Amino acid sequence: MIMLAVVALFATSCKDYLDVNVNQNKPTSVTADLILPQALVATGLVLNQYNTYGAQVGGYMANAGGYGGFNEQTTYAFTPNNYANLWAVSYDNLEDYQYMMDQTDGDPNFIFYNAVARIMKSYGFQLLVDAYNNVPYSQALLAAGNLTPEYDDAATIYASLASEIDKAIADLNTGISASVAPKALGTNDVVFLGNTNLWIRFANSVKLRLLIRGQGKVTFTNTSFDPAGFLNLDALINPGFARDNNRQNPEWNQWTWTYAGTAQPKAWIPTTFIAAFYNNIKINDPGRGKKMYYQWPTTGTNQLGFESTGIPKSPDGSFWYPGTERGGTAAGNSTGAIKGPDAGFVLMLRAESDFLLSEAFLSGIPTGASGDAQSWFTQGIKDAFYYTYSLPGGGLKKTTSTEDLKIVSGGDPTGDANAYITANAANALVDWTAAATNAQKLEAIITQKYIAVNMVNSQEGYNEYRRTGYPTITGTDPTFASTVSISSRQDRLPGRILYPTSEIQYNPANVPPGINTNNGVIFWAK
Amino acid sequence: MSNTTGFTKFLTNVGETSSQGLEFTGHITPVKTQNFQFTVGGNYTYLKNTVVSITDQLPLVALATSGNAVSAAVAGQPFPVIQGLDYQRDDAGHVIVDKASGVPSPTPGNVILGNGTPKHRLGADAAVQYKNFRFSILFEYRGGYSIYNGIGTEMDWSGTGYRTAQYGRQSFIFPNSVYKADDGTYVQNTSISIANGNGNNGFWSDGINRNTSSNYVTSGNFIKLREISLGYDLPPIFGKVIKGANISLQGRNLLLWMAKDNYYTDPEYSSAGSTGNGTGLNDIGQTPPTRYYGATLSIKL
Repeated sequence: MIMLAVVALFATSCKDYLDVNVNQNKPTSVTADLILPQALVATGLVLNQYNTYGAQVGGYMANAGGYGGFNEQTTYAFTPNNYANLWAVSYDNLEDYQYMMDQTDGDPNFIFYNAVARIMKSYGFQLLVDAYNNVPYSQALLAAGNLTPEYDDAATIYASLASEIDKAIADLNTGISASVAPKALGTNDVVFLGNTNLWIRFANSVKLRLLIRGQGKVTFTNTSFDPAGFLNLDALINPGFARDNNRQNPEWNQWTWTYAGTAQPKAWIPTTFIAAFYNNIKINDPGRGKKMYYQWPTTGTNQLGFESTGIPKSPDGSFWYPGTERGGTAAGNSTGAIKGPDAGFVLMLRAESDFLLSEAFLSGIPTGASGDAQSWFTQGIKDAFYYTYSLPGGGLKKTTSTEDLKIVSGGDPTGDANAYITANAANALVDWTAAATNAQKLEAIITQKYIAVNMVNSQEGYNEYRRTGYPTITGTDPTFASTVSISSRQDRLPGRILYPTSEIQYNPANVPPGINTNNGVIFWAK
Repeated sequence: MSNTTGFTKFLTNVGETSSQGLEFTGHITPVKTQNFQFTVGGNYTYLKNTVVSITDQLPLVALATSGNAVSAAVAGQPFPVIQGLDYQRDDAGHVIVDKASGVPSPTPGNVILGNGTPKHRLGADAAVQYKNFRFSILFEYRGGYSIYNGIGTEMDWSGTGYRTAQYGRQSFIFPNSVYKADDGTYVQNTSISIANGNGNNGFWSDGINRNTSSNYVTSGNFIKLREISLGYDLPPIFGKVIKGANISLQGRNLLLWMAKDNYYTDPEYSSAGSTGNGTGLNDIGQTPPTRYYGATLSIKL
């Protein structure tokens, strides 16, 4: 988008008679169907950075042996430089969707593209708000129209995002029932392969996440959902990731090997805290433990901030790739969170949607879905197993758009999920009937979600921790907070990251002053 | 520009700058005989670069960055100025530290930390010629500006920075600091020390020290022995087969005296290169000016 913009701005500043060099390799406008696939793939790259941030701050990842210099990542004395790239890549990607919307607003032929862009814009802004609270929204993405956008109130943005999703769903329905079929999404849609019904389901699930997180703090204009229902498969971005230059799954590329087989830096290993949800310290889950982690149950772990010569080192390819094939150019085809170079990147887990539904029933938010809090909780556990056990070939097949999810399983997820529920009977984090109070039920839901998004969408685990206080890290429960934390909060965790240096430099009149890691927390925070 | 516009770059005419300067030069030759000549002289340049205006859509135009410091054009200020974070200070300039931890906090936004271009440049040269020998020497002084030493943050991070060992790598009280008492007044801090000063982690390697660019802004003033050369003209030899020859030895950048607070490096070492506008910054990405020695033999045929 940068290149496009520069060319476009340059072109308008020239007198026509000087404009003798039209470079056909640098088009000044692009149609929405050509932008969609790269925008969705860019969202995958953005999400990978959010996953890293969520994993490091949210208790999934700790410093590994043999590395030093973690500094603010362990002390939590964040500066505007820590995780600053989240801001830049988010707005860059949001501009892609804004450009698609500007190109296609009111064009019935491109109504599906407009709607998908609108859903993805809402999805992207929620990521930003959940990390930064107030951000530029109504005046953002106007290019030269406003070089210093004002910051909007986070709760107001939430309300607007939900309304935008309503409009997108209405547009999708308009397109579906139009007498002249609009231009199909087809394989430009690298998430649902042109299945508009799945987009409506996904949009419902994103809206539910907004409603649940904003409940009691945001005035939503419309709290009903489209009758199409909620996500019934894992939403994966996969344009055809492969072991090739710039084509690998971004998470695989970051933590395991380059396409050429060079091992990536090994500065991080799983936390002792997250391992407790698999190794029977908190929950007994040998099935998923083995599917998630290399060398389970002797996987090396650490608590963030603890630096000593005895800390386990990370193997080549990390502990998160559980496969025994450790050759850099042959590894892959595995279960867990980092499955292989060709695996799709998770836009939203079906399990996350299930747990949102379970919480909606628990707190009385009408969704139109059948079932109850318990049934969606159980469904969530099963779907979480399902994703963990699936191999990279899972998800929608790339040959037809109508084919539903086919699991390419590395085991028996349904059998193991049932065994898990049985084996942990009376454990209130797993056994719904053992959770007596609503608070315990909520703790079970959020804890199971925390496990489900482990290294998949880790930022959601951190967000939900800050909203609900679960999983529990106070009292007798061991904490995932860094041993060298300087946070003055009771949980010794940072409440938020800071606005980036670029805003302080280029938009100083508008960036909220006086924000530090302990105050200015996200509006939905507990 | 702000990422929130959806873009990162915008090409447009953004401002107007003015440059005013004075130059003097003078040389005298107090002694001149057939075999001996002595010349001494100097030149002085005063330069005032000012940003007259920039577009009202932007608060500043960043010309270059190094670490957290920016070399920027700001309306009404010299061109360019070094901007970055400073510690929060009371009205008297004392650093305000937290009452519990003893740790200072950064200013909410960037402040102007100095002017990035020398205002004064003074050159002094002398030349002596005796018979066939010629000796010349050139000194240069530049002053009236500041420099951000990006290498300082890297040295503090790795624990090799001079500053990190000022307090013996122990817990220390931030010098010349105050804290805010319960009644809202600022009280001189003589007791609240920063707990972790070991240099491996904690204060010195944390962002509060390393991102506060004012820690690394020093005076850029320097005096340099820019050049010495000694030459000898040979008489014609081999029956005028070779009509003449000259042998000379030169050395450049031989000695450097820097301002007392600059314990980093040669302030001429700039990350903007020799042509960039964003002067006043350096980082670990460029090679410093080199000292060199040369010998020349030229032959006239």
